[in-house]
Amino acid sequence: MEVTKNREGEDQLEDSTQRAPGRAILEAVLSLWFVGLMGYFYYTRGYLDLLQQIWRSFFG
Amino acid sequence: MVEIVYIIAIATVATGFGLTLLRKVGPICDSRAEELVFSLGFGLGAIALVVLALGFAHLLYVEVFYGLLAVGALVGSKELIGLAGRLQGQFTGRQFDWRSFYFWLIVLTGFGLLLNLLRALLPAHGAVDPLAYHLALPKLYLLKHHISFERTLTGALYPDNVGMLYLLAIGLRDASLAQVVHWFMGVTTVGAIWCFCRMYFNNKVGVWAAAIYAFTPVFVFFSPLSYVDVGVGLFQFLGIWAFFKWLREGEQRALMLAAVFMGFAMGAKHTGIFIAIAAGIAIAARGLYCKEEIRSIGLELALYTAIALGLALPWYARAWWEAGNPVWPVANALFNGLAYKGAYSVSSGAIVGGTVGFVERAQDLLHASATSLWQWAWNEKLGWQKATGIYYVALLPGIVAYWRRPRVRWLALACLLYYLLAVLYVDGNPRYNLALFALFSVLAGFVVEQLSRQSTRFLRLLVKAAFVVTVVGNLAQGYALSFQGVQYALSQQTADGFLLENEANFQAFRFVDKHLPPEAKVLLQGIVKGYYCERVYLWDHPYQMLLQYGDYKTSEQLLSRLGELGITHIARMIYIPPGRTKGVGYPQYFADPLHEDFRKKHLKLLHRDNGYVVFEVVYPS
Repeated sequence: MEVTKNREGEDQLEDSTQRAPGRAILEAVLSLWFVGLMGYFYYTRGYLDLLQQIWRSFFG
Repeated sequence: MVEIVYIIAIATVATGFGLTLLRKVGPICDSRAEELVFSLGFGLGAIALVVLALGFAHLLYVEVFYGLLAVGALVGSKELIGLAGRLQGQFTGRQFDWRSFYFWLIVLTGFGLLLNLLRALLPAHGAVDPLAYHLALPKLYLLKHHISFERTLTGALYPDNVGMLYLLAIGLRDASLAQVVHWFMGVTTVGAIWCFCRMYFNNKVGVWAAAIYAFTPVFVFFSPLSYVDVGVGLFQFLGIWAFFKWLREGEQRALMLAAVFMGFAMGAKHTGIFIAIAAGIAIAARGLYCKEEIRSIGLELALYTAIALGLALPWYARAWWEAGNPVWPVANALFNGLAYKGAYSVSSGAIVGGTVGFVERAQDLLHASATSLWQWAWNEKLGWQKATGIYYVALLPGIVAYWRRPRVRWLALACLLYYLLAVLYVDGNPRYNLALFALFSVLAGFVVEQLSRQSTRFLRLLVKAAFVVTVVGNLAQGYALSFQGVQYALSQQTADGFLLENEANFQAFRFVDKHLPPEAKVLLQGIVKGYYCERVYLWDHPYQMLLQYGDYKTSEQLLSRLGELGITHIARMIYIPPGRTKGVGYPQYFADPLHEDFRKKHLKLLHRDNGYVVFEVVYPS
């Protein structure tokens, strides 16, 4: 795993492929939460309809 | 579109002026970008204070403003040329990787900011606060050529550094330029967030964080309007950033810079006081934690307080001088200031819960603290000023996965304290606490960057794709909000034509501006949006105490009071909506016996349109 330092000298993980299994699972759960919650938010707020309206206003 | 030329000129002068001042503080910046952002913030704050000084000196003239820009350009030219050279050196030979995900995220963010700009370029209309006082007060100062005390207007004695920049903008051009100034302060904040992340984490986190903040709904909605909150947020964020630098490096110069920006923030809105005090407490806490000598802690505190307070002092001293209360009309009972009817209190939210018991109050506070972020994201009834979007609730829980990293932990703890302060004491209103969301966006940017680099390729792609989809949704919302601006930019419509269609009182005020003598003094009845009135005016808002209709039993007594106040004309809303008669307390003038009697005896109709009338007050000769 490649480790680089940011401007402050703190270690930054640059490699995305090797992480502890616990961390990997946690990140997978967080990703699903993030995607699911955002999907629900934008869908229920009518963004899809808004995009359709804008699309129609340009392309009929 | 000429406003864009003006804002480039103002920004250039501010950067040069700010850089010159930054040099006086000493070498402090770790990068060119940081130097640019700090200079810009410093310059904008300094220009605001110079305009304030001109106002105190009765020198508010358009020619003086051009002179100010010329002198500013002259003072800062040497430093500016140096900075331009260094920035050019930075960019020369650098190629942008158009295949990079981050490149396209920057492009989409820039597109969102440009949509906001189209709204900023519209003639100022609609929103109440800007036309009632954020823009109206600077316009009145300009009419009178000095900083006057407009006792009947809300916010007459509020600290108003951002308003001073609006004053400059209105003098140079018009209210659209003032809106562009506010928009530009938002763009600077977005740039500052990216810069901060480069220093604190890395460049990629900066791109995520900048995008998250730039698409936060409350920011999108308010940055092109002439409220002051985005400007306050900029000063606060720069202050917090400099303060972090001081915490890390212990350099006195960083502390001085933090104090400068905290001073600018306190001089821009009362809410700036809370974070400035919190920083003062943190100075003492750090000193005690590091076992510094008490004398050393005292010196640091004294330096910080002297600079921050010194820069904000003109505003608070002015309020004290005029009304006997440095924060008038807030906490008026405490200072026994000039009478004001409103129930303004900084602690009227969750902190002071009336007569409920301790347990209930503690429960309320706990509930508000635990649920506010979630409520702001989901509860549409709270309106735009509390619309924070979904990014924060979706991403901030991810902090737990990276808690072992000291930087994440410290920033998260700082954000938590700021959040509690905002919820419990600063009105629980995201619009008043945009610096908090700038800090949140840094943390959220860090989390999403980590998720986009996790071990499962599918999830990495999913996270990036989902984020891009939300950005497209945000752009759609931005386009919907800016649609009027797009149409206006593409049309041949004049500003007057636009305002006649979109600002109800514009026709009446245009009559006032064209036909009333320059020395006329107008009483606005039922109207607070006085920006387009180019004569001196007073409000009859029930909270002000200069003219209380209930004090006069006959129309002759009322006429006598209007005479004392020097009122020559009245601009009146014909029909007052029920919310403003029952809620605020305005009389329904044409149905009110006293006002009808007064109209018949002492008013001469000069103008009438669909919603407004203009009268001349006829005094007995």
